[in-house]
Amino acid sequence: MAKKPIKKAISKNAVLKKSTASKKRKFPPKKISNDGVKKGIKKTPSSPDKAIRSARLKKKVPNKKHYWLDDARNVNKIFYVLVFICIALVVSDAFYHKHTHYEFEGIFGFFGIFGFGLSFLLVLASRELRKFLIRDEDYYDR
Amino acid sequence: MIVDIPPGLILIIGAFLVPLIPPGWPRKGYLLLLPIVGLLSLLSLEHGSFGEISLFGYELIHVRIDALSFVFGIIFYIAAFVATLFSLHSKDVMEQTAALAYAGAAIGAAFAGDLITLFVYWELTALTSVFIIWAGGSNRAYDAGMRYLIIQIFSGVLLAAGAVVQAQTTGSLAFNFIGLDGPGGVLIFLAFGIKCAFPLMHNWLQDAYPEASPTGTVFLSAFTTKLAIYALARGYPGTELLVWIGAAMTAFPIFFAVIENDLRRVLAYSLNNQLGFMVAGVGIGTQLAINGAVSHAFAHILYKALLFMAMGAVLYRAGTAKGSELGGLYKSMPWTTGFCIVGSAAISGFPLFSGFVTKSMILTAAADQDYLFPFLLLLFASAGVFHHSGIKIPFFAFFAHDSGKRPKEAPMNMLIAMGIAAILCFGIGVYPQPLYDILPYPVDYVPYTTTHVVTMLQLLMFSALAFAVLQKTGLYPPELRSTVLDFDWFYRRAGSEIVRNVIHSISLAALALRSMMVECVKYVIEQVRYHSGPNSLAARATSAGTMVVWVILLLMLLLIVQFT
Repeated sequence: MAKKPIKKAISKNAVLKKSTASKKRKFPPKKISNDGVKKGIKKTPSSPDKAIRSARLKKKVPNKKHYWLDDARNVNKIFYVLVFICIALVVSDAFYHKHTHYEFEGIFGFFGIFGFGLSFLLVLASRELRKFLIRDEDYYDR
Repeated sequence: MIVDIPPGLILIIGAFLVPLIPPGWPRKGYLLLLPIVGLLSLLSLEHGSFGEISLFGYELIHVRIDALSFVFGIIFYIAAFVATLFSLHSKDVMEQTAALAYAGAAIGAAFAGDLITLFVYWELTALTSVFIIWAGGSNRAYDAGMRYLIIQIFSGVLLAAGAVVQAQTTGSLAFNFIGLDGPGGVLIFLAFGIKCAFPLMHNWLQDAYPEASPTGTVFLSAFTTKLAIYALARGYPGTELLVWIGAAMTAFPIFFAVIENDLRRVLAYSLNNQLGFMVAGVGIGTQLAINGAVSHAFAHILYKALLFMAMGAVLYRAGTAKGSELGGLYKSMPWTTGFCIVGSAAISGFPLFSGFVTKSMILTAAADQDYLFPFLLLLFASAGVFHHSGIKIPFFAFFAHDSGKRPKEAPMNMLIAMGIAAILCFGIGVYPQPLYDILPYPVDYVPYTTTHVVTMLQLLMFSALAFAVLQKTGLYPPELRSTVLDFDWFYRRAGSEIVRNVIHSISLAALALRSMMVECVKYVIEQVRYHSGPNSLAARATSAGTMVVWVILLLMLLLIVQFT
């Protein structure tokens, strides 16, 4: 009986996520910029859920200032910069002598592969783990 | 200083005078002055020990200042100052008094030269800090505080028992290397382990810290666990078991940190994970590793306080610290966002930030001693830290989808406190030499080599890339309002359920027994009534004449028998 509402919430959230996937995605939170582009591109809402949401949002937000990050294209820019940095870091492995303790550390781009692979697995494993461990918010209060 | 005052007592005695100082600016000034006076008096003291008392033939040393305790004393005072500044707007006298006394108790414990003094301060940190949790004010805070207090006091009891056994077997109460050889050593090890949040003994931390007030958690995050790290570094350096415990500690909390919704609880999990690095460092036990553990504790107190301050500011302004309710706060809290990102960079060990120059010592020491598997676990945890503390915390609080919340920027005192911590995080990362100079052993270590910088950057940036890809593909688990079960379920749910069931069946059995006994008594009464009640045979009334007839008949019978 405790599980039902959460399962619903998951699926609902997932749908919502997908519908908003192209918008409002932000990658590494490194840059905060206030020099707002006055006209951010606002796509038409793609689902009724979204429409209600953005309408509600507009009411709540008195300041209509647009921020650089509000534009999905700028978020994508950050993503491409990140990809570029990663490639540059891997390539740089060729240009210096690695001082390592273990042989495997010397593999070309080892730390990149290690970091990407294991943190990917970390999140997927946690996702699965949550299915078993999740309860309602007031679980312990009842 | 003309008289040597024990370092912890300045804050403890000073704390109890707080309610007497008129509220407003005099009290604020007084609160800020206390840690500064304490720090200056500590700096004026020479290394060595004083306050020696002989008790029942045992030497007690109230204050022992050496390289190891000195580092912890300094950082505890700095943390007390920053956290006090952060909570300066608060009008909660109980919390302020308890917080300063708590800091003082931790400092006193760090300078304790014997196990009995350590025990007294150890319990004092538990008693004072529980008031900080209760100052959270909710029922949940009260319950969590109770559980916290029970566990912390139990740790103290173990420490006392261990000290007694230790005194019996070695004849000394001095707090130096203890080791796991005797039963006393094991008891003390467990006492330290509870306070240090070893795996399966860790839940008091994630349970209690997020329930305290926005300002209280900053105090809590700094002292108890790092005091335990100090105690381990003093009593158990080079204990191999600690390497494995530490490696496990770095790895398992990050899974919970990824799925936890309350961002302050995420920080509590990442605090646990960072402790793992220090515990592993203590376990490796070489000079480089101990230096790494101690300096990591130093850096950790600052960046963890900074992150808790940022989330505290969010909680204070937005009324919640839950990932599912937040997002887009950078628009109205840009300074807090910036400071939070500095803290995130420091905890992740980005080059130029404090975590990088301290954590890499532990990693290098692990590889030096050929602890391959722990080394890989620590490496994995480093990438994981970046995931949940480096990206998740700032991302879900300040960016992600816009929650529509536009809270005001944090109050000025909070901003200044966060600013100081941020500057220190950055300063240590850029210029680590002053920190290296006060470490227990001479430092022969260069953090900024090409290999270190590039490999660390690769690890972190690719971890960030994984986050970005997971977000883009929608694979990243969304933040949900939820409770995530951890080991505490066993005593919060299963334990109480078992106790409830046992009590229930005992009461059923008691009821059955009672009705059975009532039946017995009823039966006895029935029988008595049948035999001796009115109209029963025994109670029937007969006349005296009948009796005489019977006597005559008997006498006649006697006569006949006699004469025949």
